[in-house]
Amino acid sequence: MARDWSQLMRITLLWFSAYLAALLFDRDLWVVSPYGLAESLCWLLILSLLVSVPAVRAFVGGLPRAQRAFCAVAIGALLFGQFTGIRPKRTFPLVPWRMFGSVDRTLQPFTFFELVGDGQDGRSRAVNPVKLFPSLKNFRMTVGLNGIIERGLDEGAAREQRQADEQRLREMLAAIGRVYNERHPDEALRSLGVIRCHFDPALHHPETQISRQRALTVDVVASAP
Amino acid sequence: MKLLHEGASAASLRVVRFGVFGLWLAKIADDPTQRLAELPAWFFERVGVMSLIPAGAWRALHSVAALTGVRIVTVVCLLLSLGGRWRTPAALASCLLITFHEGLVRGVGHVNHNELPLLYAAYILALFPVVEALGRRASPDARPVDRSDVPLVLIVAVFTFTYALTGVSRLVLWTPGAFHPNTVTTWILLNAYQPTAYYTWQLGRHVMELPYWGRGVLAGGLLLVTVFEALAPCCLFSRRFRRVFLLVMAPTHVLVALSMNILFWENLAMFLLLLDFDPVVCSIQARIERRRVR
Repeated sequence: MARDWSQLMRITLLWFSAYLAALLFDRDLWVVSPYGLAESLCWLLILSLLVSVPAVRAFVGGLPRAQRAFCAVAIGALLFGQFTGIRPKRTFPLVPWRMFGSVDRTLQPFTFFELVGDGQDGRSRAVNPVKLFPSLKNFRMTVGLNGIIERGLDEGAAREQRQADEQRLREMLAAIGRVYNERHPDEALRSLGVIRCHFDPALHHPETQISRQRALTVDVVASAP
Repeated sequence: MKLLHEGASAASLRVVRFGVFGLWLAKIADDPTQRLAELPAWFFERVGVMSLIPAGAWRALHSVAALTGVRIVTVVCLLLSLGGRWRTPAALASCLLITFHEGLVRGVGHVNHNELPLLYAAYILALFPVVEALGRRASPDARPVDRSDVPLVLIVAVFTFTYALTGVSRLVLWTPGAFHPNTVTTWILLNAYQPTAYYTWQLGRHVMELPYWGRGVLAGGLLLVTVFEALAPCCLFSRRFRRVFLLVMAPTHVLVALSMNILFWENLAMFLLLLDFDPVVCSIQARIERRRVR
């Protein structure tokens, strides 16, 4: 019984260390917000339940001290990443594990972007930036590029900011076009454009009624200057 | 009742080590990282530990030559990590280099989770021999005990915790809205219309053709998956739960890939760790040794 309490104390100490570290590290103090506190207390409960499983208790209790500390640090590090909130950029490689966590009770129209190149032969070609830079994978490339495109096409921004953002977008498109031409010398592009696509789920057949509009076109050179 | 992999042999640890570092080797060898230098340097943000790299060095690394060099060194270190005399220092160096790789690609857009459980598995495998050595130095009189099972149990614990963290977070922060049919439909649509590197057909683009109750079934499925995610650490001690977990989660990952173009293939590969493979490894090892004796 005394041993049970000792493990429970240890697991509480581990949880508290992760909580305190997150509190000191996270500028937004997520962990003291109502949701952050509720989530972290759930984890205290989960850890306590886990350590009350006889097999877990026996395994942890039988570990040499160094290895037990190693296991505690690994689990504590995961909890620290989670308790630092919703911005994983500061804590990588320890990150908050939050996926598919938005709420949209009504279907809203949305915009997405396509890249279309104009070939030297006058034909249009779809350009897939993810295939040109596979290291970034779909999600990273899409989120990164969409951010640049949205800012570059935002006409509501202040003039200087708008010019700077559009310049960045042009620079990015030129780089993508250049790499496309290097990878596909037989289908070289002379220009690359952004197509703004509007999807309205309220339409009867939204798939066939996506409106597409070319928003910007930049010239593409064959290789880096 | 024992934990999964508790008492596993050193041979099983070697197999897992080979699998984890082998997967990283295949990933890095196949990944044209140096092509990222063709994109403007401002597109890349220094996230997390990457901010420890001085700005000057970061700029210098953003070149085809530097990224090619880093890639070659990473491949060599990963090769040495697979086995042999240099495996421990090579594994530690590999961890630093693959952290650099993962930090570099996460400097664009969004810090996502795909490869992280595999990265954590590499950390555990690389650090465990160091921890063992430190433990021996701290108590030199203690009888040496083979605990090859510890890193295996810890990898499974960390792996299942990543699911539980996700599930608990969704339940605590976004219930009930996350399980509304329109929420699920929105996620599918937003992801289905993004370009993909894997294939050219997207199941998710047809989600609007489903009747409302059909999308309700998807939302119900998400709730079921979330509950399984939250309970994932039970895989450590319950064989029955482990089987059901695999039956639910493996098709879920496939469905998410087909409908939303988000493929967690590293996690699918790591599901092998949820199987009790030690008896198989031991029997193969025994058969090999018998042949050697003959």
